[in-house]
Amino acid sequence: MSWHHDKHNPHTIISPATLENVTKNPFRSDIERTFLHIDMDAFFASVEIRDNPALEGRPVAVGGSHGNRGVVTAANYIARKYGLKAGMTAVEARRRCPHAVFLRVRGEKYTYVSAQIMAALERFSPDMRPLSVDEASLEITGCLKLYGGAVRIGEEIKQLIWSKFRLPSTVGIGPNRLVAKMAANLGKPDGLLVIHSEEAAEVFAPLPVDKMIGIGKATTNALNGIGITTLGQLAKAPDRLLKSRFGILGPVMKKLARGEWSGRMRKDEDRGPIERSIGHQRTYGEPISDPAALKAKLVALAEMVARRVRRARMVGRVLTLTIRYTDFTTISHQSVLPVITDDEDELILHAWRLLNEALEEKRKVRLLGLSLGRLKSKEKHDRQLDIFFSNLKLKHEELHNALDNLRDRFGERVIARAMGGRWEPRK
Amino acid sequence: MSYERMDEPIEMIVHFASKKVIPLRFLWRNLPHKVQTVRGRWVTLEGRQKCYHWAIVADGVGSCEISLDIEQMLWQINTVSTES
Repeated sequence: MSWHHDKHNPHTIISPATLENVTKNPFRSDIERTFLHIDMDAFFASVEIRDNPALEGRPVAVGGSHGNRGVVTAANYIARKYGLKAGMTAVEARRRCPHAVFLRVRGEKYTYVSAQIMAALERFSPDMRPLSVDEASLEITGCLKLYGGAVRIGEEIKQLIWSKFRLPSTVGIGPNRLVAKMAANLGKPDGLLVIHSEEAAEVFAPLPVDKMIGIGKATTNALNGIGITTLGQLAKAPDRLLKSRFGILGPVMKKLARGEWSGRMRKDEDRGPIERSIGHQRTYGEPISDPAALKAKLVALAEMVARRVRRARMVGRVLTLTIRYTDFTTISHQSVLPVITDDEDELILHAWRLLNEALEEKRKVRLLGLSLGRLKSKEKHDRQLDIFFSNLKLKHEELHNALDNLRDRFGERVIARAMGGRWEPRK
Repeated sequence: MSYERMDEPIEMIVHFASKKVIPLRFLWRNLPHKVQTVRGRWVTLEGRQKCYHWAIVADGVGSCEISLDIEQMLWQINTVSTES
């Protein structure tokens, strides 16, 4: 493992007397493939600090700026020292760090900056895959000679992101995407960490199991329940024990703990539409218990989902409603729709039905989510129009197209349904 | 520290250089302000309507955000960072 991090001058890429073991032979033959993972450090907060020098040196949280409503979506490292983290409620964040600066989430700004960064990364490898707004994975196997080795590429990328965007980032390098991502996680903040294939298991061994990507809270509890608390223990656990407790996932987790990952990360264009889903969710600062108000919220969610489905030229069959109560209990209800659709009226009708089935009386809802799954290409799908209602459906399609055109031209807020529980979808 | 919403019109002097618009000075509430640094730049869309934004530090104002709505050719000062 090679560590490239200069605490005194965090944004200067150190040149590497310390990196000899890596740079001596940058074209190591024992690493068949080399992957690089870039993770922006506290991205939203870093963008805000870049834009306003008065924020430097202060604890900064993005989100939760409207009093005690909402959640924190990002916190800088100073705020994290006080325990602030993404997903924390504004109330809790303010209790832990009352002097933190809470800023409004500027989604469009972050998306714009992210797109610029991703475009800049494309020059380093033809196989650059943005994984989220602040993460990207690059296969650099074929570019090692061009740039003089993996570490050189990592340094150049960090340098570029700092000089062009004034934003800190962490780079992880490994023999597969999993190890590269883990290296980036371990190298934070503002680091560059290389983990070779033969040392991955050793590096991972002392880490608690929940540090491994893909191992969540429930699996961590289950693993702890059978005496496995570290990745080292998981890597050495008997296959039979893991298989009996976790099924086929058991041996997979064991491989992950050893840094072995044969999984293929598909490019967006390689993904079949069948597995995809399109959804939206909203967290409400003021929890809602009134079913009429919740129905109105679902109308807005259904409109957004249907619009995105239409924009992707798809139609879907499985509708999923997610409800999170104020005690953070989360439930999901799913329904297979009678017709494959991209029509928000259909979504609203079935979302309301799911809400009636799932909602527990008088409990306050903190989050609602709606997604349409089992998507198919609209063109390829042989739409079976109901002969009795085909005219009505065509009129609806024309209406939706007209509304979509209006929104494309003048923005999302140009037209909306009258809500407040008075509107009923067609039956 | 917080941001105060302004959304007030300003008169702007900019420099067009290599496909970039660089804000130089602006007149706000009849007072001239010199742009010290441009910290960030981004674009938002409302439908097809493009709006360019700059995060700047200006003399006498401090950190603030200005924008140009190219549909209406309107320059505005949107927010000002305050210590309150």
